[in-house]
Amino acid sequence: MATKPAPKVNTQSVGDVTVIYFSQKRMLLDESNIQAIYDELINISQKEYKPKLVLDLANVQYLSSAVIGKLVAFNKTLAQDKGQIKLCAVQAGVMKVFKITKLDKIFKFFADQDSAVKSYK
Amino acid sequence: MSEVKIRNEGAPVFGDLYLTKLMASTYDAKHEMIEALLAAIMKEHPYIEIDEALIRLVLDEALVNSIKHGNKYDVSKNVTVKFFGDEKRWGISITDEGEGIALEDIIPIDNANEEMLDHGRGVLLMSELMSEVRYYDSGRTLWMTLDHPRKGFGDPVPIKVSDDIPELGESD
Repeated sequence: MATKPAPKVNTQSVGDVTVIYFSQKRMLLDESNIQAIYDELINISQKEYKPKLVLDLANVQYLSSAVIGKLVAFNKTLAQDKGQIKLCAVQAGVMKVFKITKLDKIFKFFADQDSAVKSYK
Repeated sequence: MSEVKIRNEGAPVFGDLYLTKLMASTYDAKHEMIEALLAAIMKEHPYIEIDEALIRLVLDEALVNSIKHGNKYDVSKNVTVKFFGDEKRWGISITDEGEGIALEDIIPIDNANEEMLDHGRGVLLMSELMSEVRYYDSGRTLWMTLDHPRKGFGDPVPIKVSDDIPELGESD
């Protein structure tokens, strides 16, 4: 079986907010692809001054503890640059992972991209 | 949530042993193993409204730990996976060829927070989503079970019980 290609990370600017999303359906974020995604998130955040980010997880079917660890690390790096990341469109199973690990208190969640973007205003 | 303990003895198998499979210590092999286990779970313990994502997550956490923390990515070492079950529950044991683990390596369950290590979160997730999680073989084997009805995995359908009482395997 061939190694899975790194998932494509897409971005869209809405005013001064950068929305990050995955166009591939039913994404499985795990140990095997999180480093590539993390590097891409760092790359995106470094293009902005005090980055305002929205991460749309609508197409993410599950994320593992390794991915959560990377998101926590990314959140800390962003905070040092006075940036923020807000999560939106999180599926129920994925939300359950955030709740079990008690990281639902660390991140801010929104129902969809629109409400997440508006929260920056 | 079940309490996680480490035992020195070998892991038990209960009910019917549906599958025994060797896995190489690579993430490609892990993906194949998850698909094989999911297919076997669906075949032997079918449910309506199954939350496949959460089962995938539990399997992923367990197999990643065996590759990463157990065999430390050593491709000369394998992971042995067994899937078994009876009319009341199903279970999976995952045995690596590493040096075993200590309780303090896996436990920060009551202290889930931002600083928690990834594998601590992995064990926490497995403990929350499965009925029982144990370690055997001094930590080389992760053993976990899911009772019927399953918690966190959607609504179960009635379990079909055969007229013949199955011969039980070793039980703890």
